[in-house]
Amino acid sequence: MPRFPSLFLFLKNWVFLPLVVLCLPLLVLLGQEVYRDLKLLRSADTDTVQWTLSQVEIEYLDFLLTLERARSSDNPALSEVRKDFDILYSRVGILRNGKLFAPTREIEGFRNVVTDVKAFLDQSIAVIDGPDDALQAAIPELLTQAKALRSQIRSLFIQGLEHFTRQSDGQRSRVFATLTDLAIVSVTVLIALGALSLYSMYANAQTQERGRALARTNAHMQTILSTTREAIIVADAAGDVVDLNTAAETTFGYTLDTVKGQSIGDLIVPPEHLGAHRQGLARLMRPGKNRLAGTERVRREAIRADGERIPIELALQPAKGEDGDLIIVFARDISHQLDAETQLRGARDQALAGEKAKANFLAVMSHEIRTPLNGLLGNLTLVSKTQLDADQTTFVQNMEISGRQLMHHVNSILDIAKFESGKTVLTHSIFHLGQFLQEIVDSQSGHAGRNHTTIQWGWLGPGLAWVKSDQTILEQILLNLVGNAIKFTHSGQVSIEVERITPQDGACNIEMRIIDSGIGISEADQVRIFEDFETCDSTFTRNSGGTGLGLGIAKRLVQLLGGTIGVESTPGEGSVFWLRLPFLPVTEPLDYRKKERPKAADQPLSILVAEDIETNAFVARRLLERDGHKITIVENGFSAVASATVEVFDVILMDISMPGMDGLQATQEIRQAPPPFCHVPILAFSANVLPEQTDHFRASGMDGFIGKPLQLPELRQALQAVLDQSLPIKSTTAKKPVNENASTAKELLDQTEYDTFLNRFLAEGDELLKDLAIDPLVTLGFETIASKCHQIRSTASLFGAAEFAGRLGNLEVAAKHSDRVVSLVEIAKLPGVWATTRATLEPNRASLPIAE
Amino acid sequence: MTTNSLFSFARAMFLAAIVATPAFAATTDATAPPVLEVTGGQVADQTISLSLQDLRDIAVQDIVTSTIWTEGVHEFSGVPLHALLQHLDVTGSTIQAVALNDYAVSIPLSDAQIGGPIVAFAIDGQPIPRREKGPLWIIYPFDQSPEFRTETIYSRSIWQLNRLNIIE
Repeated sequence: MPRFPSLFLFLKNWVFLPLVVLCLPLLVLLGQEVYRDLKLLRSADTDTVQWTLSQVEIEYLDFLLTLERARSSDNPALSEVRKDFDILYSRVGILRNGKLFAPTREIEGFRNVVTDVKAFLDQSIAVIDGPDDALQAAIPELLTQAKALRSQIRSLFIQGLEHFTRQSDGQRSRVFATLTDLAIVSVTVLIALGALSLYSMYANAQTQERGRALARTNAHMQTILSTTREAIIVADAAGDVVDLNTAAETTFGYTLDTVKGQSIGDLIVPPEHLGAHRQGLARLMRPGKNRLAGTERVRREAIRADGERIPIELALQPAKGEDGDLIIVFARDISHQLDAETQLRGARDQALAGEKAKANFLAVMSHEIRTPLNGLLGNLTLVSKTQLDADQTTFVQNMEISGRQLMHHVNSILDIAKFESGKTVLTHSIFHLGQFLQEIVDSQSGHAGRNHTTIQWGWLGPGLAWVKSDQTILEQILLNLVGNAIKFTHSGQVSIEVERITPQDGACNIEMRIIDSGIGISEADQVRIFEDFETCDSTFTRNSGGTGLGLGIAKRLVQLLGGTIGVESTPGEGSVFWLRLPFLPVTEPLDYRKKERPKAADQPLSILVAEDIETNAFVARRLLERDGHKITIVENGFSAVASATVEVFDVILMDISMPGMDGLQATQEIRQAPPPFCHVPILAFSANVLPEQTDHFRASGMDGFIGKPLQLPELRQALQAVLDQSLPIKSTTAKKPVNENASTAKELLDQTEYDTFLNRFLAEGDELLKDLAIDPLVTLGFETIASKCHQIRSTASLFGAAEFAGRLGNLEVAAKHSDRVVSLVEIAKLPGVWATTRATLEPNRASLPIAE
Repeated sequence: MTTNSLFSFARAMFLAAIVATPAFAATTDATAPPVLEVTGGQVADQTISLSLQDLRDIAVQDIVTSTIWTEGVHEFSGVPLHALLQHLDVTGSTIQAVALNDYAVSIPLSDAQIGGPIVAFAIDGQPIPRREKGPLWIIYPFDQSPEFRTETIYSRSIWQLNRLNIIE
């Protein structure tokens, strides 16, 4: 009854108690009145009055009788007459004077009678007190007179009786009224007291119920405390044990009886931690907000009763006890937990090591397979250029096809290995989605044409222009899907449909659909094709050369980008592979158009170029001279310093890696030369594009940075900046200007020069590939690999071998970081890329290379 | 309040009377006729007759009080009942007091205490005539306490007393 207590409380506080308080004085007053009435009753004289009244009559009759006897006797007993007269006189005196009869004397009839009787008595005194003979003679007369009073005497009794009856009636009714009042008040008080006692019974029941509830809670608590595996120690403010639970007894090996009152520090804290323990205790008990929250658990070492040290997990909670502050210590023996953790960690490490070993194995094996395979393919190419009959040509072609397939498989496995080792990271860049897709379509159109298939792309609905994503990965995904589509479509169409969608899951705002009109995929196969090593069927695999890894890789890459991939297909009609990917729409980059049309420097400058690689130096000279600048070329740092300290150039382009003194050292030297030589702007001229390195350049005293290969727009921009005296350090990533650069080189160089440098580049490339072919990590070491890559990369870019240059860059970074797996993966990929690059560049030569 | 002051007044008078008693006793006549007969005292069947002087010789005490039978406050002088019984060396439980008109009443011996009733023989310094409820009258100090203003006590206040029977 949750509502009643308040009602009860209200009645108790505002009704019953005041009622009792008000009634009690009333009760006392009434009690006094009753007492008085009762006292009156007790001391009532009614009986005495009646007795006296009746006695008057009796004594009157006695007197008459005595007079009768005296009259008829010869010798009358006169003394009797006198005695009875005195008795009657005494009695009547009471009626006349007695306090008792004061009220009755108010009644006129009564008073008159008393007066008459008294008058008779008084007038008789003379005779009564007179001589005997006179008395004797007067007796008849006395008798007559006395007899005459009889009716009056009688009326005395009747009147008195009537009066006193009335009086006692009045008294009784008064007493009755008083008693009634008393009863009413008493009943009221009784009711109020009854209500109060009801309330107190109720309150008592409540208290008892609460007590029982408390007892139950206590019992529960006791059960919990005694059965929990958590050791609980209650200590007082001084750190002395007050209570232990069963778990604490087992954990620490003490019993409550033996340790009660002893310091917790002496019992379980190892001696070397005792100081910290005391400090912690003091901090815990300090009033204020420094108190530790009890939730924080810390790991500590504790000592058991038998001296054994055990690891425990510990939490402290201050509490208020009856006799002051308490500390409740929750502790748990975590030996088992720690063992389990150690085992788990060991198992995890083993598993990781296994995984790593697997990835390493894959990478190494793939590399080991690729190297001889490259040899095979190279020799096959050589064989195909010898005199062969028709059958032999077919065989060689078949062998080459098989070899390339095998190479493709190995490359896929390498990709997977790279994924598994977690080396794939996203590199976001800003690009134009439409241009990008157009490039994809352009690059695949030849491939499609061989299958008599057309390929196109287009937006469905409004499109997006500039976006931010990982372009390389996106390219890999699309090439895979488009490649598949072309592979399985003969005399049909492949189209890439792009549509903006409302982001639902994640932030995928673009859906790309690669639609082909090819052979399609059966429903059963649709669920499997994204698994590793899954293809539609083995026969088909052989026919179309699938590894079963392509879609598995694509799926991984899509997931890496935060997107989803799926397929819908009807066998015989075609397939739709859809991708939902997140693209961050961005505005057109500010420098995009500026880059497009950088102005040539208005005035000719004198420029010192320090460059040890002849090809690069040559290209730089051509580019700069075409813009009208005066060029001085030096081959190393020493020469650069020598030139720069005798002639004041407008700007110095300083290669970083040079034999002898490198670019950084040379810059520092120049900066220490006397003015005006030391103030010449120096631009770093390097293939190094890592951001941390540009910082390094600036620290060495350089003013700017131009990436290799030297590109006209960038060079012009930098020179313009020199003229404007505003040189921002700029890290520009040369983004595959395949055709542009190739054309630049061709444009700059005449055919002979081009051929010479190209031959040199191809020779360097072959040399590198040869060096890398056999266990390069051991024979060359990371450092050499990195420097070789660096050297060749700049030249590669010059000839537009962007992919090869990119691979070299990756390998260089990996080698610099001594990353074995990535290095091996990159090395493994190089020969393929090199073969393509070589195949693309070789036809540009006018003459065949001189046989070596 | 009135009762209280009246009461203390009465008490003062009462005490003063005790002090005044010996002088009063000395002036009384010694050869008066017997006024009280006592039976059942030390020797059974023996009647002791006491004169006013005999009574006066035992002890005298005054009680100033009103009564229901008289008008106003009076000074009663007499021998205290306890002194009388002590004088008579009475053992027993009850006294039967008998009046001239043979009215008899039982008085328990426990009433005979200091501060209890007296056997009065004078009112306002004068002997009490038989015609005015004399010569002996048992008077309780009625005004002193409500204990003495009960029906029972009134019935024991016997007047025209002339005989006491000691009952075992």
